[in-house]
Amino acid sequence: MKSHISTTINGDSVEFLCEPSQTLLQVLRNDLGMTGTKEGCGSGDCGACSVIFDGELVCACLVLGVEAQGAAIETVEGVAAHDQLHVIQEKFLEHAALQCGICTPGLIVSTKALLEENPSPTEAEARYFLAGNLCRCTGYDKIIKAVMDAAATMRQGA
Amino acid sequence: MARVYFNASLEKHAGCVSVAVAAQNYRALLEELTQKLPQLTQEVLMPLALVIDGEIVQEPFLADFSAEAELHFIEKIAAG
Amino acid sequence: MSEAREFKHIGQRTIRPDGFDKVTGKANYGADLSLPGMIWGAILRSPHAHANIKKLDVSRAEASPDVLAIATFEDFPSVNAAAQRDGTHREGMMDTACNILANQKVLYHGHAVAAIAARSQAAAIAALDLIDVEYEVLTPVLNIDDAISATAPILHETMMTQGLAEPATEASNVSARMELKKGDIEAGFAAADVIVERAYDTPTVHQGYIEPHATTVVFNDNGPSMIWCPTQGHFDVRARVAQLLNLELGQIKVVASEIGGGFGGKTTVYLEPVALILSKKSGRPVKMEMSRGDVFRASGPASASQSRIKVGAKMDGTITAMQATLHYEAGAFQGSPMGPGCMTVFTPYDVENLYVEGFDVVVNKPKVAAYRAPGAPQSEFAAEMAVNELAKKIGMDPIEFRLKNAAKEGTQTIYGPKLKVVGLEACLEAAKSSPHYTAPIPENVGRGLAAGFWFNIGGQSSVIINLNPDGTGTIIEGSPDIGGSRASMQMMAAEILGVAPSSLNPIVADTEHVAYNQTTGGSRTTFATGMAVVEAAEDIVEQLKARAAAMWNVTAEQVDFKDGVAQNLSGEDQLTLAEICASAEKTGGQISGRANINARGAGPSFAVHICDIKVDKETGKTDVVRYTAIQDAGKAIHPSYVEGQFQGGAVQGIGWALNEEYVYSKDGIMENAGFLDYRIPLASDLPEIEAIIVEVPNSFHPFGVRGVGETGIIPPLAAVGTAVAEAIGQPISSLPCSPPKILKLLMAAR
Ligand code: FES
Ligand code: FES
Repeated sequence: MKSHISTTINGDSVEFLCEPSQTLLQVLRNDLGMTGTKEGCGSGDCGACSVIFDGELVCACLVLGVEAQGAAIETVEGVAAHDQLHVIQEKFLEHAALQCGICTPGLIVSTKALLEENPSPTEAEARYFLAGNLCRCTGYDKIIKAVMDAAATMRQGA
Repeated sequence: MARVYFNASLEKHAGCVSVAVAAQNYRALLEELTQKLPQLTQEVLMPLALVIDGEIVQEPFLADFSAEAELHFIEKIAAG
Repeated sequence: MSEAREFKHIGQRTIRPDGFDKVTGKANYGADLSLPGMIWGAILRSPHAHANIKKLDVSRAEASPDVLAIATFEDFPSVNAAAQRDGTHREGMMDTACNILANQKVLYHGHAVAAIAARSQAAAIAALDLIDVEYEVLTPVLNIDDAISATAPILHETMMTQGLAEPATEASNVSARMELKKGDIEAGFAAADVIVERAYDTPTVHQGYIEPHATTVVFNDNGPSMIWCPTQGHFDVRARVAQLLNLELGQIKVVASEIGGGFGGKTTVYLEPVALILSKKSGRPVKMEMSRGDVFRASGPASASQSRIKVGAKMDGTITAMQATLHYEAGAFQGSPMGPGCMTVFTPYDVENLYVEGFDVVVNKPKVAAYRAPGAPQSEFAAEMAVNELAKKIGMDPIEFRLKNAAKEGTQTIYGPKLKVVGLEACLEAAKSSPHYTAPIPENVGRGLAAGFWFNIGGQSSVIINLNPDGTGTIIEGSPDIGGSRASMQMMAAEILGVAPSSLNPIVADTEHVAYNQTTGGSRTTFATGMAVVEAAEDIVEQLKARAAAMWNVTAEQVDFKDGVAQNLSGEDQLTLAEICASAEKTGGQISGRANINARGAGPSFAVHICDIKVDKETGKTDVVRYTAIQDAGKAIHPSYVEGQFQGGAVQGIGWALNEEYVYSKDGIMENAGFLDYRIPLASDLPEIEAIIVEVPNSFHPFGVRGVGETGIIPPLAAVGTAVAEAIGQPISSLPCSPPKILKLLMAAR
């Protein structure tokens, strides 16, 4: 039996039907066509599917679609305002913090969550906060530099 | 004359460590080698890359070289 | 190559053209394409590591209304033994087919047995239960020692060892032996004052790309079938699928999606031919995805290895002889990178007497695939560990010891040719004066250093550059962009055409829109495809001159083109590139340049890494506290992405050295097929990775480029291994240096 779910994604109200066993990640990617959120493992180990769910950073592969009822969800597609990139996105590009880019949507969302929670992280705090986001290409060096730079820029702008 | 040097694996087929050749391009080289050293068949040589004076040529079919060239056959390098 | 050239764009840190899409989630990767009417495929995999398939019965599945198509090995129409060796790969087509869908025998845990397509992914997975398989379970062969023992179960009844002194007469798990030598090894050791001889081993590891294999395909009887997939080489996917399914190349179009990492692991096919069979049978588009567990269990990891190394030197530090015996696991089918392992093992050294023997060994594990500098990390790890130990015995600094014996221009390699100009000495000097090496070693910290060598390759690339009437343009290339290469292409073309890089849009075209390109791998893309871009741009420059000449009514020889502007040498007139394009209509139609090349002269890249490690003596846990990667790039086109290659390679090597390994039960079941238990490095595991770019130009490339993608994974294994050995005061002979192993060494020493 499919359930009818009403939810909010990136500010838009969205409705969908979903099986009880479907994850939020599957709903986003396969049913809603929102493929910006990536799947690297499906078991909560890689962070490629990071989304913000009612203000909290979660792995969309560990949330059921039905749990989205009444929730407010932010995905990578909602980070930039129209064509204006978010500072975090700009800094990722400036610092060449992506190579293949498959981890990038998850990292952008996680970084946003980090900086909302802690606008002045130390490098160690950033590294520990982002430890749930695997990147196999970069060795994290440029990602951390981009995050620290984004934090500094956002503090100045605030 | 150009000179072909064989590594230990090819030496078994060639029966020698090096040989002088009159050839100045890959196709002539294959012909000359397989004639001079019948154990060294086209089947052995064709899958290999040719090294001309230290430069690895993965697809040597059209390669030519000087009369003073130093030539080696090596296994093609795989991609990673 | 002109001396000390001034560049306008090359060497800058521009924003990559595909960046916007990749930070906003718009870029489409392997699993991101869905089509109307699409159904899903799923694969039934072997629960055993080694078994005969006594019975494979799909009748219950066939009868189910949920099942729209089924595929088994029988569906490969004409895989015949004659195609066993396709010339370019050691791996024959028969092996490829049997790896994709098992033929009467399963050879590893997770080996694909059959596939089903159904209306949803869940339905396809559920329907796998309807396939009945009866196995006769055989004893698995799980490591090199077992595989080469006289009593070992034989994986392939027809496989005999190639390359023995006397032709083999019996089937064996050793597929090939290779021997390389130089000088007189006995005499070399006789001349040595000190000799180190040790055995080393490394585990099976995975490339660990974050994006699992996935594909969406549409079979089409009346035109080309379409395959969408993340691959390092879509032309190679096309060739393999065509061979497996007996199709012409023109009957298949492969579209390379964006690719979420590959590192060599996405240079072959697993799902694509199966999906196409399912699509043909069902008449529907078919999508297939591997789970992370499938990726670990059934895609190609890198070889486990065993190495025995013997190195001798005089007390003054001259190495007199080096000898290696190397065994590589190929997995279920022959074809480990044993060859390049043998060729690279001692190449950082200019030594008179060398002897190397290598063996390719099959075991009941997944068939290995390339992984960054395939074969080199394993063998060079062993060699570098032994070299460090020898330097210590003689009482020499490891950099000085290497400088005394370093390979340089003219060094005779063991695989044949003499080296051209290379940057090893420059890297060693840069290491010596680096902030890291000149800093004292902190208390309780071990420091290790190691060098690495990789050949790099050139090969075939095809590029078209089209200019628009307003002077903007498109670069059509065929090398999947796995780490920012579009940016480099843009910069190289812009440099030649004298325009802003952002005015040229680089596109990775499908197999129908650009001529053949070799796979992105072997560190070849910036070098070879870059060379094609330069040639295509130069082709355009010639046309621009001719067009300007036509406007001025002079000959092309009277026109100079510089910094994007044509100059009439017999007058004052000037025309910008955009102006020439605007009048192209009048001077003979639109302008495009083209290059189809087979690039020669790839320049080897050497690297030197320095690693500081702290070990917790209570738990055996290791912490990398400082790390520096130094490498010769020849010329860095985009320094940020060059540093990124060094850093990424270094961290993969650190993972290999410290934590990563496949863990098998005694029955051959992989027990850690997920990122939780197969632990790749996290952001919190690492310090900054300092990257130092050395530039010793490659004279064969117009800008001096050497490939940089691969060498960086080689030195970390021994740099880390040596640092751990220094920290615990015990020799290290086995990777990974995981906490339990280190703790055991510490306990034994107490
Ligand atoms: S896909 Fe959700 S954590 Fe990996
Ligand atoms: S950029 Fe490839 S995984 Fe992070």
